[in-house]
Order: sequence, then structure tokens, then C-alpha cells
Amino acid sequence: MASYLARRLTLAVPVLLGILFVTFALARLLPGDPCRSTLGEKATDEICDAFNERYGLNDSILEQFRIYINDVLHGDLGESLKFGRPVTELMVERLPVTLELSAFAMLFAVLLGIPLGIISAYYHNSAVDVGTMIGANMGVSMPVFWLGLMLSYLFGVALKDTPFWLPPTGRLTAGVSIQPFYEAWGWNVDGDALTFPGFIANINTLNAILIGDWNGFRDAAKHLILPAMAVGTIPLSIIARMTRSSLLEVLGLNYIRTARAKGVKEIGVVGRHGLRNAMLPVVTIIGLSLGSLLSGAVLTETVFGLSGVGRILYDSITGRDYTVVQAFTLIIAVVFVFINLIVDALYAYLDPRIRLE
Amino acid sequence: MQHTEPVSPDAPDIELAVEDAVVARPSKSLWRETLERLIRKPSAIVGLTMLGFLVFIAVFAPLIATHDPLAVLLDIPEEGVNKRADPCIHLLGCPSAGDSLLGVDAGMPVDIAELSATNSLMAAASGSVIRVWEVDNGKELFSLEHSAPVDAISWAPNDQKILAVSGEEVIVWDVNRRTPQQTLTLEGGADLVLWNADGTRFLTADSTSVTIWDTLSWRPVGTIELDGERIAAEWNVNGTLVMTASGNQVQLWNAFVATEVTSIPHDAPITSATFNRSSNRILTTSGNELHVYNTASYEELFSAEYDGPLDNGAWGESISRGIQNVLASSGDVALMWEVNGGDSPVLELVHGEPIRSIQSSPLSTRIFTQGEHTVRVWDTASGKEVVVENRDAAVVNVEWENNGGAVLLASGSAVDVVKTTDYQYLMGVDGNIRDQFSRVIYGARLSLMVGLVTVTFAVIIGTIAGAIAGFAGGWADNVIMRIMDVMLAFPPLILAIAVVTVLGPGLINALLAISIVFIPAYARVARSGVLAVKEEDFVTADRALGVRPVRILFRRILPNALAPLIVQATLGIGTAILDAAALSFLGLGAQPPTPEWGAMLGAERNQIFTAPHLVFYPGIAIMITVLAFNLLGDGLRDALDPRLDR
Amino acid sequence: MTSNNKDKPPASGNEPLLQVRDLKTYFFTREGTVKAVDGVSFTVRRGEIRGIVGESGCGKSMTAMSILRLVDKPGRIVSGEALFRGEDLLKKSRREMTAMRGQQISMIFQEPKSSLNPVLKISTQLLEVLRVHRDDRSVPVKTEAAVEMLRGVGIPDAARRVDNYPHEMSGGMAQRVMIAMSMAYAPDLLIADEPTTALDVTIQAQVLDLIRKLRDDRDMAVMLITHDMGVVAEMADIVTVMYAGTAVEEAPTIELFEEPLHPYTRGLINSIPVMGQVKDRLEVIPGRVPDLIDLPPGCRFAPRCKARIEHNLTRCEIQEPHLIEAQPGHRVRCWLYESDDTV
Repeated sequence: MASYLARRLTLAVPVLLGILFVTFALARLLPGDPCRSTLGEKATDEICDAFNERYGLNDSILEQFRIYINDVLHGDLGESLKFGRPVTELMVERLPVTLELSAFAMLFAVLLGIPLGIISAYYHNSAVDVGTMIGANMGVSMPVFWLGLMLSYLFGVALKDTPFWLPPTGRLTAGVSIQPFYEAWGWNVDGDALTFPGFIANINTLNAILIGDWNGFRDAAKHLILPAMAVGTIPLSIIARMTRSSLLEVLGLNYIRTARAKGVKEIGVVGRHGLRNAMLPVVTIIGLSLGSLLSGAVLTETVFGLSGVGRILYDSITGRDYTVVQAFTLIIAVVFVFINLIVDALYAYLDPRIRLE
Repeated sequence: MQHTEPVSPDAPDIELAVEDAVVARPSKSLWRETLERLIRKPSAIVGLTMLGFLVFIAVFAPLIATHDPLAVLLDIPEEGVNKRADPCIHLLGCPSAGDSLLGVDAGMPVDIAELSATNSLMAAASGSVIRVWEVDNGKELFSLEHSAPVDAISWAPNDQKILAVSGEEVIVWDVNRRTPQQTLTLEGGADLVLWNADGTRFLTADSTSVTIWDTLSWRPVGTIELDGERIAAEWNVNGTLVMTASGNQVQLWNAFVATEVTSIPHDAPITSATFNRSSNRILTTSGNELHVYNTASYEELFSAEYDGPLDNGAWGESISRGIQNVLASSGDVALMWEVNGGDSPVLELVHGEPIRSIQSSPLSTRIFTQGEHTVRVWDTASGKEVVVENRDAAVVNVEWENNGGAVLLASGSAVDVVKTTDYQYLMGVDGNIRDQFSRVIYGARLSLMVGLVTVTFAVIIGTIAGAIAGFAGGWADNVIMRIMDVMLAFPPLILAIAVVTVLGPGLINALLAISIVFIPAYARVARSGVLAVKEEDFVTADRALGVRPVRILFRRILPNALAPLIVQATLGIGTAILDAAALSFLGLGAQPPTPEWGAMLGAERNQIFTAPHLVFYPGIAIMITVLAFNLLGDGLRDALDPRLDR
Repeated sequence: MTSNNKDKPPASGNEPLLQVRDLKTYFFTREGTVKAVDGVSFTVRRGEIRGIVGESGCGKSMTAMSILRLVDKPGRIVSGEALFRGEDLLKKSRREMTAMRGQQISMIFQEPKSSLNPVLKISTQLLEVLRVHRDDRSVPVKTEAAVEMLRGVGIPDAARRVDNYPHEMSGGMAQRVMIAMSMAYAPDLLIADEPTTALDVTIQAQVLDLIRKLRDDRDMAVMLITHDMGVVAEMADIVTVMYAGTAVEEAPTIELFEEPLHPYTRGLINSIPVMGQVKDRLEVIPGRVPDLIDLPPGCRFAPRCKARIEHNLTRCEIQEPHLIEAQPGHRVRCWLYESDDTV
């Protein structure tokens, strides 16, 4: 297994290099003179020379690429023109929001998608199955931002004054605040958003759990339901469909027949023999759908008034703040590669055929 | 090995013993078989039906759409349209001409009723009380008490103030605080009070004099003494001139110093006088004649004569259509002339009782005529009557709503807003006053185009790359597939965003970005298809026979690797449409005013709580389109790969 | 015609263990009703190996699956009974049936490697049988038991093998594991569905030997389903030949091979290549198995039957023949042997 993972890891290295190259190249492909597009059309040649010198734009492309890689490895992703701050800082500051949203969305998708898929497969062609599949087909066909907008209208406005009302925007109700856990625990730390305690404290639900503030937790979770539903619907549909088709395939296989002939009860047949095998492609698809989850976060954070990483990206796109877009693309791709590595590891754990290869 | 084993022969699949020795090549019947299998799939049937429906809509969009998707409705002209109006379908009980949109009861007979400048509020004075309602829902907001009966009221241009003349006082009410902001003394009182267009001045008038006030100092600027009874007193559009009419002449006064600028004499006593909307012309009626003057040169531009005394002159203009009509009444007949036409009236409308006022809707598509107890609304194009409203009590005031879709009608103690148009907007009207339905219909063209173009491009490039990689193998395979791996490491939408940010926003760039992002998927499919077929017997046979590799690739391998590509492409169209919509939503794709669904969603996203229909319909359209391709793709996959058939 | 079992010469002289009567299993598909098993009757006696032979798709596997009640949707057992030690299996509740499987009736399958769960260790899968059937849930099942089971089927180095995964084993080894699994509770009846088809010839012989040996040791009955006349000749005591969902002939093995009565059986036997005998080509039964949705109205074999033409029989295509006892202990379903008065 270790050798298998080592091989996967070495295969990831050229991909990571490629990702770095793509993001680097995209920035160099920006139309126009980088100096004048940054400093304005009136910049004189002398100023531009100095600018190019300062940002290493006079070096050879390879040298520039080397410097870029070096910068990235040191955590320097450039400086945002719009916010006037290092992009790394911006990202780390806003990451808790996106992380929390993604986690809730994934939880929603997995906890609902897998059972739905199992039920659909087991009661193949039943009303539940047909209903789930129609729902899942619609789920993958909707624009996530539209779903977000419709959900916020439905639960925030149409169902106002009913028990189903949910807050359509924001992270916490105005007036509610959750005490940072390090204060509650009497830690004497710098609670800046860039420090680790500050980062953790920014994840509202986690912070609330840490200090046992259940009202705060409920409020934070309530605000997360709608965004998580919006972002999680596509992964949910994909997971439910994949679970269903994978389990259907597995349930038709010979060893399932063997298990039945052995006298294993139905729940054991589906649970022990069916699911374990059917989960293999589902694990892969969960890893892959994290990509659509992150894209979804970009599109929906603004809809729900959450100021996460997606919000910065949105603002940067409208403000043509290319450094941020570049850094975001890089981070997402790298995260994506590592998620796939984790999925590979999980796959190996679940399937002895790969483990022992 | 089993052939030589006599004891246990292979399965006696007896029928297989003779025929089928030749390796089968896919033939035309494969396609027919696939098609047959396809139309047995419910999902494929639904998908194909939906797709056919969408293609029909896209092709016949100009016939289906009720409007030009780019046209602002008020320009074409359609009156009674509100920004972000709700969808309205007659069958579902959409209010039509003659229906009361709003009815309030003031409790006492109403003496004066007036809509606010923006038409969001309305005020009615009965005795010494002014009541104010919201026009949208008829909710009474507040009432203002005065010590003496109210003689005249006027709304400020921004709805923030009400001027009320009560006895010898002019009271300036602050609408937000509902308290008097100023109380000015006016000797002799007034029966008319009027703000100018920018709210910097107002005038008050009694029967023989007009006073102009300044709202910075709240002092009178000057008083104009008229040489006879006041027939009219009006501001010009930018508040620099005041027009008065009395006796036989029309006079123009400087509004800053209240001195006379000029006067236009008439042969007979004047019965009415009024500026047109841009104040470059004046319409007067006197005796049997009607005159139009230019206010710069004082030349007469138009005149007409009728065989009865004329009164109640009014303008009907629609500048964008180049229409300028003048209206007047003679007894119970309403008349309309075209200013640029001949001197005989183009319309003669019999009202049935002596006409007290005529007014044209803002775009001159309708006019109303008001008598003692009856109000009629006419269509100016056809001269047909649209609405008749009869009241027991005398009609106090009739007034057009700004958007020309309704009139305010006050009579007795009731104030009604009566709808005068019955246009229907199936999906409502967007924030730029365009018909959402037509835009959604035209959007189908764009979305189908986007899906097909991007996927075609990606399929061509991807297939070529994948086929070369699969067929050539070796370092070419390695290089191509590693590049594809790197591209696949990015979530597609994120990479597309990055690419468009580099290329610059725009539909073409968005299409290019999405195409690029989708290339690896097709390259992979094509490559694995090629690899699978490459080792088949018939390809090996061709190689052994010395057929050129390019020919083998195109004639033998690609057609066989086509099935998974078709499936992938069909499913890819859906994703491409979704991603294009997302880019447009972010402002990176189609730019306004292009009727692209994603862009339409993006433009109205902030109105989700007030006008959800504007967000709902484009989204549903996207979903239906993507769903159609997804269902078709699923059906195709099942049909082309019978192993998955269940 | 299903009641005269007592007339049959007992193969090993024991009382009937399983009596299948008029079993019908249909598949209700969109295209129509597939009559996979259409009125099959036979008896399996203790200690006997009952061969069931026929081409693929003739319903022999489905007969076995029906006995174990493992027919998947859209299939359904429509009628008939399967008396196992006097109790009708088809009337048992799901729970009783589950308890029965693997304990009193076991089954092994055609493709041993795919019949084992690829993600579970051999020991886990072996012990699962013990685990699900043990009376006392608190008694833990021990790995040694699995090792014992593997030894019982002659797997060398059993202690190491239990930790293997199925993909690490050969087909023959996997089939032995399957047999070990099915033998865990010394069942009364072992249903072997094409147990050797996917295996190499030498392994085939070993597996068959193992089955025979286990039969002898434990006095259990075996229902051996195969398309391979060679295997039947080698193993079975008594044989049922199936065609298109029905039994067409039933006889003790030796008698069947010496004097096959049904034209189909003759065709099958003639299609076996025999060592030392030079033939220009093997004899082939012309035509193909009928569509089980649209069965011919008369005898199901009539469209392919040479004998019908040779003997100029007319009613074959109109009326279905009955399974009659043509000779003592030898029953056949063919108009050649059925006289008019039996109708």
C-alpha cells in the first residue's frame, strides 16, 4: 500500500508543476503591457523600466517561472490590487467561511445522497427510485446560483411567518455573537484572523461547539442550511446517482448471489457485501464533486451574503483583480489534486486488489 | 487448447458451430439498432421531446416571442408597463382594462385627489383633512389635519412634500415626518398651488393673480396681476417660465423676477392654454379656434377651426414615435388633430355629456374624456372606446398614472385606480422594462448555440489530440495526456473563469474558455476508444495488409470509438450550457442587453426578494435545456452500451 | 404423472430428500412473459447425484435458483412445490428460508472467482456462514474454524490461505473455497450449478472428485447442473434432460447413454466427440432454442426435430406430449413413445 501511495504521489508532482505553469502562463498572457495596465496609461518609459525591473519582468521566462515557483512555495501569492493586501492573507482570512460552507454542503450531500442511492437501488424501479432519479437529474441540471436564489426566496420570503423560515443571508443573526474559544478558555493569544486560533474561531459552528454555546451553534447552523443545500445539491444528485447505479451493478454480481445462498440476511447482503464494493466508485465521485462544490461556493457565496473566498473571487472578477483570480485558481487546483490523492488512498484501503498491486 | 481435448468439449452452443466465423464489422444496422434501443428508453424519449420543443422555440423565436427581446417596452409603445411587473396571464385572472386596481374610501366626499409625482402615493382632500394612501396596496399611511377646508394641494417632484392651501395659509407638509415644515401666510387664499419640476419654486394662484415662491427662503418672488380672470397658470419644464392665460391673451413670465417676457394676443377670449411636455410649444383654444405656438419664436405652427366653441385643450405626444397630437373638446365631443397633419380632426369622439377635461396618456396611446358623471377611455389609434366608468356622484378628478396603464378617478368619497390596458406579460417585465417572456424565448437560441458550438469545438480538438495520443503511443501519448491531466486537475468552471479573466469578458471569450476546459474529457474518451479498437482483429488485419495509418485511424478506428464520444458530447452540452450561464452570471460571458439566461439571472439577482419571477424563469429555462441534454445523453449511453441496460 | 416415484429403481436406495413438482418460474419482462421453468418435476434422493443437463438457457440454473428461492425480479415462482424432507420450501417464510440456505441446502456456482467477494478475506467469507447460522450469538467464531474448513477440501497451506483475498487464488482453488463454504454445516443437499465449467480440465477432474468424495463421506445428495454430457456421464446416478424450460427425459445415467429415447437427448449425445472415433464433423442439432416468450404450441423441440420428419408425426406441432414412463424408470416426453390412448 505504501508503495502504491508513493507512486501516486510521484505522479502528482508533474501535475502540480503543470498547474503552476498554467497559472503562471495565464498571468503572462494578460493582454496589454503589465506595467501600464497596473500603473495606468500615463506611466513613462522610465517608470515602466523601473517597474519591470522591480517585478522581474525583464528576466527570461524560465527565470520568471522559477521565481514564481519559489514565491508560491514560500506562501507568497502576490498582492491584490483591489484590496491592497497580500493575497495569501486575504485567502486565509476568508477561508473559514468557505471551509465551513463546503463541509456542511458535503455533509448534506453524503448523508442524504448515499441513503437515497441505496434505497433507490434496492427498491429498483419503485416510486422512491423513480422519484429520486428524477430529482437527481434535475439536481445536476440546475444552475447552482439559481437554486441558491430560489431557496433564499422560498425559505426567506415565501415561508416567512412559518416555522420553516430560514435566514436567507449572513452568517449570524444581527446581535448574536459567539465568543472566540480562546477567550472562553482563557488563552492569552493574539486572536488575529491570520493566526491559527483566529482561523479556528472564524469557523462559527466549530467555535460554538468548542465553547459549548448551543444557541450560537444553532444560529450559525441555521444560517448555513440554505447555502449548504444550494451548494450541496449537485454533489448530492451525483452521489445518489452513482450510489444507485454502482449498487445496482454490484447487487447483480455473483458474490451477492453467493452471500444469499450462504444464508446471509438481506440487510447483511446489501450492507456487508453490496455496499462495501459499491462504495468504491462513490468515493471517487465524492472526491471529484468537491470540484463542483468549490465552483458552487464561488457562485453562491455572494447570493447568501457570505464573505468567503468565493466572495473575494467574485469581487476580483468584477474588479479585474487578476492576482486574486490566479491565486485562487492555483489554490483550488492544488487542493483538488490533494483531495484526489486522499481519495486514492481511501480507495486502496477499501479495495485489496489495488492495495496489493 | 480445449479443441484438442476430446473428453469434455466446450459448451454445445450448437448453433454457433458454423456461422459467424468472420469478425463482424460495425455496419449501418448498428445505428438503426441503437436508434431502436434509444426510442425504447423513457428518459431518452422525454429528453428528445424536450429538445425538440427547445429547438422549435429557438427556430421560431421571432414568431413565438411577443416582443423584440431588446426593446424597452415604453418605447414601442406599450403603456401600463411597470419595471419588474409581475407575470400576468389573462386566463389566470390578470386584471384587464376597466378593472379597478385599487379602491379606497375616504369616508367623506373628496374635493381634490392627486397622485404623487412618482405615483407611489396618492392624496385626497376632503374638507379640512388630507389622507394619503400607498398606491400599490391601498394602505392608508396618514392623514393631515388643517384648520380650514383645503382648497388646493400639490405634490413635490420627489414625493417628499405636500403643499396644501387651507384658508389663508399655505402649509408645506413633510411627508416623512408628517409634520408641517413651513406655514406661509397667503392673503386672500388660493385655488391653485403648483410645484415646478425641480422643486425649487412653486406658485399659488387665485382668480386674478399668481404668486411665485422660492423654497430656499420660503418667500414670494413676486406676484403677477392678471388683466382678467385666470384661465390657466403653468410652469415650463425647467421652471424658468410661468405661463398664464387670461382674457384674450397668453402671457409668459420670468419666474425669477415675475416680469413679463412676452404675450400672445388672441381674437376671442381664451378658454384653455397649456405647454407641451418639453415646453417648446403652447396650445390654446379660443372661440372656435385652436392654435399651437412656438415658445421660442412665438410663431404660430398650427391652427384649426371647428364648427363649435373649443375648450379643454390638451397635448398628446410620443416623442420617440414622432407623434404630436392636440386635443380639445367642443360640448360633448372630443377632438384630436395631428400637429403635423391637416386642419381637420383625425378623431371625433362623442362622450355623451359635456366634457370637463381631456388628457392623453404619456405615450398618447389612450385618452380619457371626463364628463360630470362619466369617464371614458379611448384608444387613439382606432378611436375605439376602451373603458367606461359611470359614477353616481360627480367626478372630481381624473388623472393618468405615469406609466399610462391606469387612471386615478375620484368621485364622491371613493378614489379608484382603474386599469386601462390589458397587455399581458407571461413572465413579467424586467428591470429595464423589457418583456421577460420574449427574452427567455430568444435565450433558447443562444443557449443551444453555446452548447453546440463549445462542444463541437472541444470534441474536434479533443478527438484529434486523443486519437493521435492513442494511435501514435509513445512520447506523443505521454506529452498529450500529461497536458490533459494538468487541465483536468482544475475544476472546469474555475479554469474557465481564469481563462476568461485573461481573455476579457464577452460571449465569444467565454465560449472559447469553456471549449478549452472541456477538451481533456474528449481527448481521454477518444484515446481510450482508439486504444480499445486498435487491437481488434479487423484493424490488425488492415495493418497487415499495409493500409496507411491515417486511413486506418479515420476509416476504421474513429468510427468505432464514436459511441462513447457521442454520449460524452451529449452530456457535455448540458454542462457547457450550465458553465456558460455561470460565466454570464458572473458578468464574464454574454454582456447586456444580450438575452442570455445566465446574464438575465445575474442582472436581476438582487431583486430576488421583490421580483422572484425575473430570476425564476431564466433559471427554469436553463434547467429544462440542460435536463433535456442530460436525459438524452443517459438514454444514448444505455442504448450504445447494452451492458448497462437495466 | 409426478406421483409414481416409487416405481423408479432407487439409485442408492434411499428415501426422497427433495421432491420438485410442476415447478414454474416465469420472468415478467416488458417484452412478455419468459417461461424460464415451465412445469419441471423430479426427485432427489439421499446420497444420490442427480444430473440436470441441457443447453444454456434451458432453465436448469433457474430451477436450482427457484429451489433456493433466489429468483430475482422480474422473475417469480408461479406455481409448483419443492418438498424438502417433506416440507414445501416455496411455502416457507423468508426468514425460515434464509436459515435454510447454507445450512441444509448449499449451492456452488459456475464462476468461483467472481462468486467470492473481492474485498473480503477468504477467512471472513468462510466464517460468515458460521456466523450467520450459529445458534448462540455470543460464541465467537474462530479463524481456526476457517482453516479447518479449507483443510477439509484439501487446500494445502490452509493456515496461510485463509488470509488471502479471492483475486490471489486460482479458479480451482476458489471453487474449493466455495465448496468448503457450502460444506460448513454438512448440508443434506448440495446444488452444484456448472461447478467446473470455468475451470481447466485437470482441475475439473479434481473438483468433481472432491464433490464425489464429500458425497460419499457425508451421504448427502447432490444436484449437479451442467451442460456437459461428459461430466454427467462421469458423475451422475440419474439424469434429467431439460429443454426450453421442461424436462424431456429422465433416466439412470447408464440407461440414458445406452439407449437415449428423446431425439434431443440423442442429438446431445451424438454431439460429443469420442476419443479414437474419427468423424468428418460433429453432429449438430439444427436450429436454435426457441424463444421462451413465444413457445411453439406443440412439442417445444418439434421445430428442430429430425425424428418428427423421419416418423412423419403430425401432432408434434399441435399438441404438447406428456412425460410418460416409456420403460421402467425411464421417462420421456415425446410423441414417439406416447400412444393415442394415453391422451
